[in-house]
Amino acid sequence: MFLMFFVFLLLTIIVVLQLPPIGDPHVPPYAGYLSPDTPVDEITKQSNAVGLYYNRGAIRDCGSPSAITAMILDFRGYDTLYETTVIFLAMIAALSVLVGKPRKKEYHEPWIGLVRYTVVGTVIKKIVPFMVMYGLYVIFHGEVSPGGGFQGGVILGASFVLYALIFSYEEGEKKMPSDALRIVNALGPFMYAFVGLVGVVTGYTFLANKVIKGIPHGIEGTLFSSLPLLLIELGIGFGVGSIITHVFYGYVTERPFTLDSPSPQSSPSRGEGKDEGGGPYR
Amino acid sequence: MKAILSNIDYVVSVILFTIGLYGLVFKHNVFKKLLALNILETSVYLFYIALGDVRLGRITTSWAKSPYVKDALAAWTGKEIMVNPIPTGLILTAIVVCVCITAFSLSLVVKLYQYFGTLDTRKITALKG
Repeated sequence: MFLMFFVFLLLTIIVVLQLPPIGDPHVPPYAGYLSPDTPVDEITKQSNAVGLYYNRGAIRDCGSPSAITAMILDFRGYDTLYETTVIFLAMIAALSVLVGKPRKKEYHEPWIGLVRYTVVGTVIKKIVPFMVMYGLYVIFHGEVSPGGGFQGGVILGASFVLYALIFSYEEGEKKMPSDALRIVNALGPFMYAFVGLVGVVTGYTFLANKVIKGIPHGIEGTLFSSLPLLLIELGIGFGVGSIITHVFYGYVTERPFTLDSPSPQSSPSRGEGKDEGGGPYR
Repeated sequence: MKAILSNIDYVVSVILFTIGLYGLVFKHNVFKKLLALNILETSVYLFYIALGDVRLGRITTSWAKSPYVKDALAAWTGKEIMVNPIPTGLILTAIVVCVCITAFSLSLVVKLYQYFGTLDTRKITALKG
């Protein structure tokens, strides 16, 4: 069995070593990268030059100096629209699996958390505001530098998860109630569709961001580079942060699933089990 | 040896892929299988991002127009570099899908443990016949 994997590893390494060296600019897809002053319209006539077109047309077509943000939010906008929908649907699926029947009273134990360690509690209380600030920084700088909605949203969500993990779930629920999260959850797809529909209403196509005349677009190269992309980034950021936090709340408040007509297999083994009497994950 | 050094990212990615595949096939714990799946996906991210690297590439005109980015890049690296944005964008999608898969599978793992009392795939035998 081990031998099989060694043979597999050997074969794949041999195949991988046949590739051109990493970063070699002389491979055909990167042929245009070496001359920096090719006009954008000439690039589209070459084959294999899509990446180059994204790099050079980012400011002209989207107003965002960061080529990756311009690519995932504007050039490939439908991809990211359905990506936000996918993460929203994954949250719905995970929460619907996790929530069963209401828990009986005797199973309920308050979660003490790690706050009994003074050092941990103090440090986390000082760190969490900076984490939120850094998440907002990453979200707002998504158009001009590496970053964006998904990354900043995950940092935002991680700060709330950390707070609820160290202090109890009830404390985290006080700071960031799940009713508020339920409202913000769908903000990613909603904001994307909203910005897209602005194009339809004003007489252009869906997600025609930079093309629309008459609405402010911002100054290219500054923090306020492009208003549609900024709105989309904000929607994705808050949506993803709330989804991460909500999934964590779902794991914490998870309730055991019991069938209505119990068969021998379906009786959960919590009575015999090792996990009786400890931990919040019951 | 020189070929290995110039393609070291690919080689590391392939080794990670094999580790993930091994765990996915031979581990019996469902949770460990999930971790192995994450390792396997990470190897694919590494491979794609190494593919998108372009050394000796010049800075593009759209970037050079922006004083903000130009100064930041110049202060940071001291030279003009760039990458191909397509693999990075694709991998962003892949990371999000991986997070979705992990969240949903972990919820299934929790339910599986409550239902069977174990995570060992050899003992989970609900399927009869």
